[in-house]
Amino acid sequence: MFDLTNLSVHFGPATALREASLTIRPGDRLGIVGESGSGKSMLALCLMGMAPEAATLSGTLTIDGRDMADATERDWQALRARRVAMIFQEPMAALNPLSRVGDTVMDPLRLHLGLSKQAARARALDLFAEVGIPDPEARLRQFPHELSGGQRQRVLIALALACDPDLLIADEPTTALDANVALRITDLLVRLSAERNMALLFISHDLAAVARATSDIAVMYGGDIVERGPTRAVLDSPAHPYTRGLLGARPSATALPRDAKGKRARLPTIPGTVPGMADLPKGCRFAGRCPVELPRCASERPAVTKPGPDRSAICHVPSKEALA
Amino acid sequence: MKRLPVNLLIGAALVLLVIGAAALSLIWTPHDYTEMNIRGKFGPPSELHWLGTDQLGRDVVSQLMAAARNSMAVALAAVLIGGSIGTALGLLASAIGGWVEDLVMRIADIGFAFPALLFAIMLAAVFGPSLTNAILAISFINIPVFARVARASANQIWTREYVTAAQAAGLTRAAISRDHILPNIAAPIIVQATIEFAVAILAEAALSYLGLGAQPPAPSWGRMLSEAQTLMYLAPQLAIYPGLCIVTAVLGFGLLGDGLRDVTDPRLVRER
Ligand SMILES: Nc1ncnc2c1ncn2[C@@H]1O[C@H](COP(=O)(O)OP(=O)(O)O)[C@@H](O)[C@H]1O
Ligand code: SF4
Ligand SMILES: [Mg+2]
Repeated sequence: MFDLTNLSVHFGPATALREASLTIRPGDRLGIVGESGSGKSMLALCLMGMAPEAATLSGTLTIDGRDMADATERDWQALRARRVAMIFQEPMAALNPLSRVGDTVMDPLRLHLGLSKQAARARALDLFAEVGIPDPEARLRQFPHELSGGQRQRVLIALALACDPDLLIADEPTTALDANVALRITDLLVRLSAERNMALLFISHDLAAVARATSDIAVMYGGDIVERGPTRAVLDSPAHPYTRGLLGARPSATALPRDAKGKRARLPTIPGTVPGMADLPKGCRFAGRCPVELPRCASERPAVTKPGPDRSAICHVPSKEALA
Repeated sequence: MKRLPVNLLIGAALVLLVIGAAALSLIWTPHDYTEMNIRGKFGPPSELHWLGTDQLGRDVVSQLMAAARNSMAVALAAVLIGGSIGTALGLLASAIGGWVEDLVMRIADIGFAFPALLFAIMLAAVFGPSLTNAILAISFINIPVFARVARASANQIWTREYVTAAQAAGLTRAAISRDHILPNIAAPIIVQATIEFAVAILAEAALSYLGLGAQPPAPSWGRMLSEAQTLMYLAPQLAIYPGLCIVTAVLGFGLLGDGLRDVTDPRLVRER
């Protein structure tokens, strides 16, 4: 079980993450959405103990009841792969071009589980089969450039699964993939999470993918988690103006327009742009772009409200009803 | 097929010539290079002695070939020793970062500023002049060179996503340095090694010329040059031949290194 309480990340005076609180239990499938720069990857890196050296962290992170405040790099190395693993946005960039993909997958098996070369190989073969890589024997010996984007992402998923993690973080796992492949990778992650009772933290720009993959969702903006709740409920009746903005330009919750290359559209545009980390308003981060803004929004931090069962939002004007 | 750069082709040809001669000398030379023949001294080129004989009647071609072997062996040893230590230090500095990196690089700066010749003279003064000491001195100057190249290249690789992925898989910095960083900095290291090979050949020739390297009867272009110096008016060709050999070898490895850099680092070529 992963528990974040009021976790903040600062880069000098700038804030990349502000008092984020989350609990991830075994088998949870939690989505994180938000525009670029809203702190999604930072949150993920904190869970991996991989926040950049320049960052200062405050708040608490506990893993299975253990407070990670005093964890050393060595402690984290022991947790990574076994407790928490991660896959990345660019499956090409995330594989060493000079290593056979089999060796890459066997590395943590040998390191963490102390398997012999043969045992690690056998396990890698099983993993390749589990993530749907055809002809695993031959694939093990191939280099990343010999595989398609979808195959590479499957290799990275196999790598992440190698030591049976309790939590798999997928940081925009489908952004770089074709629409059809993206769909299949999303479904694969859901299947693996269910079969292994493994928690899944699914970070994405793609609301349709998040709707498909997750049961709960956290919406982030400017380093804040602005809304939380069951995915269906949040997407059907968003309480936070930012969430409504994200959904606004979309025809439906499950069909996002695709661009000429067949890639899913990024989040629909909300008027204005995300201000730089240092220029964010002190109060609500969305102030300045918010269509229903109140005079106090920019200076006063909104309190947490409960727009529904298991839901929360931080806004001075939460829920659609309040607008009417 | 992309055309290979001219410097690479010329460099490779010269290097092959030198290495070929050195390798051949292991199994065959026209004559025993130590065999003297006082009556046949300063012999002109002939069917028997292609480039003639020296002041002691020894066959010049055989000496040049044996000296090539000596030169290659010294350069190879020095580049291997200095290159491995330097690369290891650079990898270490890059992996640990912080003050360790600063310290290693400051020491490398000092080593870089330290003249090899001075170091060789010091070694010779303490332990006596020998080929081994020459190798040690040349190795020593190579350490900071490789430390710098390795560290700069490694720092770039550490920012790659596959390194982040390896960290996410729980690999230690040591394991990442070995499995992911080292293979990906091999190209710049090999380029540097080729260039340092040229530097080492020149350094060996210089040290042997000064009597701090190869000791008689070990063959060396540098020593042939110094022995021929006193006979410049009598037999200038005896100085010219080893001189040409040194130029060929140094130029060959230098051009090869440049050419390899052009091929392996396309960014540099485009900037030209
Ligand atoms: N090493 C760093 N130094 C300074 N700022 C950083 C660093 N890494 C990330 N940030 C900042 O943290 C914020 C959150 O970034 P990130 O988590 O990558 O956003 P997302 O993944 O949602 O696109 C951004 O404003 C980014 O500029
Ligand atoms: S707090 Fe104010 S500015 Fe922020 S989202 Fe709510 S209404 Fe908009
Ligand atoms: Mg990101």
